[in-house]
Amino acid sequence: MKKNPPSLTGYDMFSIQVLFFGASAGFIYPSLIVRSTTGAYWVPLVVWAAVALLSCLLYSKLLGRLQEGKLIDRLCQSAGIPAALIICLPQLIFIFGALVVMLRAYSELITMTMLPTTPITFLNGMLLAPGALALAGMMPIARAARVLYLISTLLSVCLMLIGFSDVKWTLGGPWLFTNGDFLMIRNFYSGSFIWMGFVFTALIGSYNPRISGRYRKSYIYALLLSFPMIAGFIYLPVMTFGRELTRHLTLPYISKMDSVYHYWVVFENLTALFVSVTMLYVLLVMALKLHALGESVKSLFPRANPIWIYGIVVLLVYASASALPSWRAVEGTIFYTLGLRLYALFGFPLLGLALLSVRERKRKVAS
Amino acid sequence: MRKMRLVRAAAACCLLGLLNGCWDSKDVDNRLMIGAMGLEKGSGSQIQVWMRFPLPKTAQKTEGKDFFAMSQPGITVADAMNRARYKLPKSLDATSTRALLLDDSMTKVSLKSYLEFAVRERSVPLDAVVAIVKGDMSRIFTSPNPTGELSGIYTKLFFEPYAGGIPRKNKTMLWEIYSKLYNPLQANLIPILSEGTQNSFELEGNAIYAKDRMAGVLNPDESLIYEIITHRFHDSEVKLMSRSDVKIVHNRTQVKTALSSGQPIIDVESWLIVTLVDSSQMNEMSEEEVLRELLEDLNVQAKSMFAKTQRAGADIFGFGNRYRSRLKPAQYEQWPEMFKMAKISMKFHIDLRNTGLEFLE
Repeated sequence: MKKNPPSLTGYDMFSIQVLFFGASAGFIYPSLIVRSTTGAYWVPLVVWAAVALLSCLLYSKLLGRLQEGKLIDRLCQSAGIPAALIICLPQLIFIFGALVVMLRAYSELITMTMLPTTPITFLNGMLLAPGALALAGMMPIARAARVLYLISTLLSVCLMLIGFSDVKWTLGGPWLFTNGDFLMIRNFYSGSFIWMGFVFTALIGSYNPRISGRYRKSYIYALLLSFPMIAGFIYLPVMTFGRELTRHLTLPYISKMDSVYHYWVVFENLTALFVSVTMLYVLLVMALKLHALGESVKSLFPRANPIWIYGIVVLLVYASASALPSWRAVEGTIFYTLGLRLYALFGFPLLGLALLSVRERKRKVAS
Repeated sequence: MRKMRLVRAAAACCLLGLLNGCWDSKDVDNRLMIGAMGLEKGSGSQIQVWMRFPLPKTAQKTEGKDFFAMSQPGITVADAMNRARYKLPKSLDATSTRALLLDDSMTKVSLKSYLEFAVRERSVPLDAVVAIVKGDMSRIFTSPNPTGELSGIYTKLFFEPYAGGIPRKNKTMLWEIYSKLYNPLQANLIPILSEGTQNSFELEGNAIYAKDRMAGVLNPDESLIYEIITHRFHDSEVKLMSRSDVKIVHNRTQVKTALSSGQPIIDVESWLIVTLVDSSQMNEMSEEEVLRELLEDLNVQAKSMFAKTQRAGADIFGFGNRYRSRLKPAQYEQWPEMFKMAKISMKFHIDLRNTGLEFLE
């Protein structure tokens, strides 16, 4: 009998979701939102948070249908491997794209801020660490998440509080006005990626109705905690430089950290501290994504050697990230994978629910 | 077993690659770090960039000076810095620049294009202090600091509240200037220093910028009112009057704004707490007389300051930012004209906390 994989605790899931927000919201995201609207910035955030919550409820419903097992395994049992592969393929491409973008964007961030001539191919080599962690399994990722959540979130909040010391609230306006202009701007849609941490945790570990409730709750708590942090990543540069300059900045929060100066701050270079904290987030989230991708492939190709699966995935991600030539290409990739993200948010859980329902009905009819 | 050992050995060898260090690393003793940088309008479209580098102790023995200064013309600041590299034996490093001094000639040209390099490439720290300097840049950059501080640190200390900075000096950082060049709702106020006879330079006032050009000057007393309104006032500041001197030890300011038929209405109220520092024994004054004179003095300075800024259409206070929710984004560019027509009033409430260790009978 196949042994069921362990499941994540509520705190594990909560830590992973918070780290996911931290890894995604700090560097690419602020410029996407600031360039998406002339109105209040919190409105597009609330719109996406609501969309993400809806999707999370769908996933929770889907995971609640499982009786101790992994989602992809169950889909394979219900529909057969070829049909499951068709349903999962866009999901797998989405995870692969998300990995490539995260790796390349973070390498570019390092290039722009600290190491301008270090080859991107060398910086992309950081993928080795998350690759090793992903191969080690879900529990090492969960344990690392628990520790990193305490360290990274604390440091992020401290940096944010220090950043608040020289802001002008009047620069943040308009605070209430919105004309929905962001709906016509592609950056608004590009920013959808930061809300999708729950998609990855759904693919790892074992679920049943009780764990599915835990999954839903942990995302809601993480969202509530992270929302002010995400808003801070956007509003802090705006309330420092004004909307007009912030729109021109590639990495507004990095420039914000550059501008902070206090006699009493021990660290002279807060930007380096922020980049280091972000690295902790990014490494763990890349491990999570790699693990989700590796485990899904393992379910679809049960005979394949896991070491080979992870090895090939790491190599492909590394090669694709190295092939992206510029920051514009990264932004383009984020935008052009929107369809995959929407599929991951709604298409996949709806199809999964439909499949499991049909299977259950058939079983009832048969019995 | 043996195969596993080989795999592990290969993995360990791969990890050795991480020990190479970074591509961009340059040892600190192979760098020339700029302490202070100066920008001066050169001939034609060129710009003259002045650089002053602190020298390590070993170099001071041979040179006899604790700094090395050089200048270099170029089309842009980045171009001049690049050309300076032709002459230097060590790596030019601007990431430790503490002060950026703009020559008087730079007030007549657009600043944005000359400061862009600092933000785009992170070459100069965004928290470097910026000031306009009247005088001979060559003398300023090549003369030793009379009080002995390292290059760049001297200028930084001149402005810092924890050292020689006082509110009238209006410490302004690079990011503040650059962001206001983009903001149509707020204009820049940049300190003006003039070459000193006893010291490197002294405060002359503050330059009002309309968009990216200088459009007037606030004297130090008017600058004090600006600091009070914009909540930049720190520590305490002495206000000299004809027959007594007071120290402003605490202040609180409230700004109320409205829009009436397209005209901005701005009401500023300031509560000041002062202490008496000195009173002329020749012309004895009562507490009421001290406060009356201070009030008159502040009102005159405020009126003159608002007149100067409104005439130039330069909202150095950032009142315009309070209208972000009331104006449409397309109207932001019209703010300088609206500010010229604004009805601004300022009211001071002053409390004399004490008269020092001597009663004023």
